[in-house]
Amino acid sequence: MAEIRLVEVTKRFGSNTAVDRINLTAQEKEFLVLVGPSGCGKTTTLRMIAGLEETTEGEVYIGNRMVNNVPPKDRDIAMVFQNYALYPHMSVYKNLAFGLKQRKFPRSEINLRVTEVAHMLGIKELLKRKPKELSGGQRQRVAMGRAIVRKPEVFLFDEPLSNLDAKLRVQMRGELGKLHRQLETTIVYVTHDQIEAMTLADRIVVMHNGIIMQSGAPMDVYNNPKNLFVAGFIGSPAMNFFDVRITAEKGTLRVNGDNFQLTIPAGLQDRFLQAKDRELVLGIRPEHIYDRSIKGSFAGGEPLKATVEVVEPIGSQVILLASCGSENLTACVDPQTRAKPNAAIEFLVDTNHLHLFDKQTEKAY
Amino acid sequence: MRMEAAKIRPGDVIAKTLIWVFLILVCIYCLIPFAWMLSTSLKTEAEAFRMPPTWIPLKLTVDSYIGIWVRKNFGIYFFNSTVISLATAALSTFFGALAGYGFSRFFFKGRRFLIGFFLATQMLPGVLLVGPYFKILSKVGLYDTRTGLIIAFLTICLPFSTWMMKGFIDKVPDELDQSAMVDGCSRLGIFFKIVLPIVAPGMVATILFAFLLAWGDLLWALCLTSSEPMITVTLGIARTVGEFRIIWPMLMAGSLVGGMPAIILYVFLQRLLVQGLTAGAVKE
Ligand SMILES: Nc1ncnc2c1ncn2[C@@H]1O[C@H](COP(=O)(O)OP(=O)(O)O)[C@@H](O)[C@H]1O
Ligand SMILES: [Mg+2]
Repeated sequence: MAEIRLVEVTKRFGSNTAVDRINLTAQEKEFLVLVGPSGCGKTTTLRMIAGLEETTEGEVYIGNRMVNNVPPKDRDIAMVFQNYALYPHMSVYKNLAFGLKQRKFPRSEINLRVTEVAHMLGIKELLKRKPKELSGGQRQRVAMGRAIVRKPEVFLFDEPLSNLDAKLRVQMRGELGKLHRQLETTIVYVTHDQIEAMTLADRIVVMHNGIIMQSGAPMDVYNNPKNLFVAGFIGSPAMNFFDVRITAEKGTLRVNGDNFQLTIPAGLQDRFLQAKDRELVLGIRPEHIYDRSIKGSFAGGEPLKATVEVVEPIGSQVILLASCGSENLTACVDPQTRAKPNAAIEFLVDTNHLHLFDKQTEKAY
Repeated sequence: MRMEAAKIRPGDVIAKTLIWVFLILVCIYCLIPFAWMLSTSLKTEAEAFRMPPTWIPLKLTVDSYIGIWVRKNFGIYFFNSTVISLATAALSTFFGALAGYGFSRFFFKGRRFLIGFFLATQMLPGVLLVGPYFKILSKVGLYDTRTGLIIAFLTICLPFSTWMMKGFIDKVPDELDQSAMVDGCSRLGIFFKIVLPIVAPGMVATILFAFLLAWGDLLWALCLTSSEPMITVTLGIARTVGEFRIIWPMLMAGSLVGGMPAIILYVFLQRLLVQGLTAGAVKE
């Protein structure tokens, strides 16, 4: 079992800085998820942990060992590649056994482990097949099996589910979580899918342009995004943003938008008071906006008038795209809503969940 | 029954007929020399000179086919050609694959230039190199040896093999290498255990190229060997001409037999030229 630590790690490709002085620790047995948009440096970070890419600056530790100069095979890691990278000329059995064979395990041990893992992943019937005779989901399992048989200290996953169809992805996501509890190893998992990140992670690390924007437990990051980027990236549908200013009148703070005004509840007043006189961005999550006409759904909060533009029922909820003055907003409301396109609507905003960001520094208050 | 044939327009029929006639003519054009070789090889020496010539020999005989082995040293020639061609094919393909792997995976300084340079050497006509090679091989004592000839052929084949193997290896995703690396494989291990088996079908093309080049060569054999024990099939055939006279049936028999291994190899390996070397390896 091992902890992974990156200290001030930078990776440059020519003049392009892919990873910029990141500090990162994955605790022993932790399921750490690196999440961020495409091109933000997730894969590069993972590959530096694996030893497939040299660091330009900084140090990588696995356990207590500095591994900067240790080749991948001696790092006691296993990696699952985004495109599976199965050996096409070998049967599934041989694919699974390859790593053990390279490490000179006795044949009986190899056989035992391969059988065990094949059983665990439900691919026992496929052992004689070649990769080209497998479906996408089966290939994915084999790729994972190839990592698991080695019983390494650390698992590295690079978007392992991104090539699967939606249903299979949800299923494999569940199995991955189960697997982690079974194996009890450190996992560093890369994905651009924030739902995958939220559901799997013990801790998520949000990256952007080679920089770590925030890390923490999924719900912490969701509830308290430290900056505009994280606020907009985590959560689906994405958080609504409005350009606002704060005014104080007779001891009560208000946010003033283009076409609305909300009173800030007492609990948030102290924190938001510092933001007075600054240009600000207000963040409201779609799930914190309610349809006022639905009886008994939500009381309290502040009213917000808008015009509905699009109504998207998704079953458990209805997503409303609306405009409020010059700004657009998204609301996830109860399916009982009778909102119609091009009709006025009155929302209730749960003001206990307001987020306020500085427009210049993009930092949260 | 509806008459489907009624739908065929007269224009189509004429076009089809013309195409067929043209194709048949081309076939005849290509095959006549072979038919003539076969016919002549089965004639007596006297009949070979008969005017007007006969297509079907009046007196069928396989004397020439026996003669090339008994009266000429075709056994030795075949042995030489086989050894030289197989060695050229095997070595150039193997080293071509090694070099191609290097070019495909390592990004060193001057890489692009080197690749271009490799290909540029192919533009030089072989004749230009024969002279220098004669000198060099004489100096190092490899003149008139099979080894010398193999080395010379490798010079010609290697750039081509390298270029081709690089092309095949480029199609093998780098992730397979990396996966094997994480699995505990060395670079050379990856080459032998992962890359080579995957590109094996692609190697057929380079093997064929090198083999045929070496087997069919006359120029280099002529210039770089001299003694009877080193003579290759092509040189042997050439030498049936003009010692005192041309024994046409024997010349034709030798040519036909000499062409066989190349044809057999081609038919044999061609079936291995399959598509989809890396099917199932990665998800595109
Ligand atoms: N081998 C490479 N050579 C040059 N640039 C690279 C290389 N690998 C990645 N990059 C660049 O580094 C940045 C981060 O890439 P990557 O880590 O693959 O992003 P992600 O996995 O988050 O999508 C990108 O701008 C990409 O173009
Ligand atoms: Mg990536």
